[in-house]
Amino acid sequence: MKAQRITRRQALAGLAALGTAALPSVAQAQPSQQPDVRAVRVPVPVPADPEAEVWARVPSNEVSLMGQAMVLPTKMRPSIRAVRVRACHDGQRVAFLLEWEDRRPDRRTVKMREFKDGCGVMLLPQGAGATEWMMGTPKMPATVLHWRADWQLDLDQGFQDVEAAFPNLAFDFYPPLVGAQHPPKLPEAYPPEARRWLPGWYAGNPLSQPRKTSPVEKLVAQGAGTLEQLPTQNATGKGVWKDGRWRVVLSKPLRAADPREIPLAPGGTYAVAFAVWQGASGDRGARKSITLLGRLRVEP
Amino acid sequence: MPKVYNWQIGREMDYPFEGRRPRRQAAAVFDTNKCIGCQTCTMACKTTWTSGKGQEYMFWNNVETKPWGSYPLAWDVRVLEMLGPQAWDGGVYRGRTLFEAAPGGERAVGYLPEDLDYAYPNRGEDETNVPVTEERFYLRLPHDAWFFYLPRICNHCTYPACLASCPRTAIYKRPEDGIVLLDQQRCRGYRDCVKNCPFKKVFYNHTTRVSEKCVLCFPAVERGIQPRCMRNCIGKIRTFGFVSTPDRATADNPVDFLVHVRKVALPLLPQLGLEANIYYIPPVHVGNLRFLQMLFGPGVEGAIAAYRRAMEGRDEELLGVLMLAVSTDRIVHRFRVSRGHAYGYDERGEEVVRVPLQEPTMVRPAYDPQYRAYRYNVT
Repeated sequence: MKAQRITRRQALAGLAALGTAALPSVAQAQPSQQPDVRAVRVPVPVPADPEAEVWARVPSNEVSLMGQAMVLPTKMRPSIRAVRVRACHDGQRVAFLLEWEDRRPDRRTVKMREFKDGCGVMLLPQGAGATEWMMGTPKMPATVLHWRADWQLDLDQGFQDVEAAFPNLAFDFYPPLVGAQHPPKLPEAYPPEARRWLPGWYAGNPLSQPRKTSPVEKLVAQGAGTLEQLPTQNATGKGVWKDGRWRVVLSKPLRAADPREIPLAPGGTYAVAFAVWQGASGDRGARKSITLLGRLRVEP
Repeated sequence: MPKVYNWQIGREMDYPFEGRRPRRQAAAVFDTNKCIGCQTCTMACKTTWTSGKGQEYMFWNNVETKPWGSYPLAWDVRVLEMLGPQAWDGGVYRGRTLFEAAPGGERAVGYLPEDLDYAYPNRGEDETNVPVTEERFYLRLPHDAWFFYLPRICNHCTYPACLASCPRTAIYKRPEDGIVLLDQQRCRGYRDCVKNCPFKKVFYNHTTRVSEKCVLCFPAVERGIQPRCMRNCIGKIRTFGFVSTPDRATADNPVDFLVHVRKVALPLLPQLGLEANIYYIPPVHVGNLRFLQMLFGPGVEGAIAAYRRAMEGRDEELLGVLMLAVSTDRIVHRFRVSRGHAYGYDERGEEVVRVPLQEPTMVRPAYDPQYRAYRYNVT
């Protein structure tokens, strides 16, 4: 615990300096230490597909990722070295394309030790500093877009249930599904009254819903450990893994749908940070590779 | 990190949160001498709570055979190994607790089991500590060759490691009864609780992708009824109630009487620093005292002596409390032993059960003159 306090103090001091320092204005060949993202206006609807042609015309910059040393549990060394970031908007929606190298995709979260790959975009008002960088504050909540490889897999191949991870599984019956098709498939085989045998689903936990509509969640955080889904889920996106590289689009309307969501507008400047999770390294929650808090300029 | 007082290790210790005890603490005493390993408790729980999809491997209650049995595989050995040396100085633990042994960047020391670790829930069943091959294993107390059953549920610890390590505080301890619950709405499936619960009584649901744990049948407890695993115990080994801290113990509370007055019931692995609230009467026949001390702490010798006194008919009160175990579905808050009977009372002081210390028996003569027949000794 003693070590943690020192780390936190050091990190805060470093950040305080960074928060007020002048931001680099041009993309560099080396990964930059701090994100400086320009969301350019595109004449077509923002692409939901990472392989869409329009992305080639959007400027990119590569940002260094580092470990997360502020909040327990920590991750001192990043799993991924850097993330390449692009952003664009069409006057209605903003979209980010995040790309990073990962030798092996980790998509499933069914087994005990399976953790997913993922990435996140955290948006804060301009003026956010070191404190807000750690998932916002009650006064300045952070809007977070979170793409999840496990949800992408559910969408691409159907809900990944026990049978996906344990193909030889044998089980006599599941009450109250006696006589149902075997094995019972979610969600079709589960009438509402049967869902109490799946407590997370029954309680309305967004992670436990077998029916997915988007691989991207839109969340709000008011400090570490407070992350929750916003009532209006209108973030979209798609992640594709090819040739040792994830390419992921995360998109949301510029206009805020919920009171605690950050409203974006053409011509505005905001604070932004990115995060990447590598399932194979046991990354989840605060165990993530993160960028510093930088700048997002939404072109007029 | 805040300091909290843990009476089970006789000292203050580090804990990530301020110490705040619940208004009362649900607890139970399991008499290992009476457990027959029938797994009725296991099935009572399984059919009530974990028969859904994704819960196939889950046993919120399990009974394992010690010394070799474990579910998940080697949970105890692995955790104790991570803890390092565990020295006791009288009633004071001098080693490190789970929280004090936490590696940098974590709240407690622990490991995340693999799926295969859960594959054999009854591994080591009925295996003795040494192979029974020689004649020297004749019956005497304690036994040279031994095993015993260890029934296990969530310990609803006073200082839970699962609660401490959840980054989202999705696990909470109820102030009204100390039951530790995992919020099914807030959990995001990080599995830090699974990793850091040393007893491995938090489980990851494969289908809902969030974690679950024993709820101590709180809907029953709220109505003054004992949890399912306790009510269904065939061997009548389980005394359910509420435990106090030693300074507030009352001698007519069954759990307090067993834990604090007679000191016959001991916590499981007190050196972990969790102040676990399921207590065990250690087995009297086990010929390896050090093994029992590793499991139940330094009070083992005294507990065995107290238990044997009662079995020899020299402690009617203790015998009475043990006779009340699983004799009613109601939670017994207070007891009394008088004139050959043990009485149990509920929270309002109403008598809910009365059991004789000795069951009435009738001896019939071997020869029945009416039918001119000899009776066979059959039941």
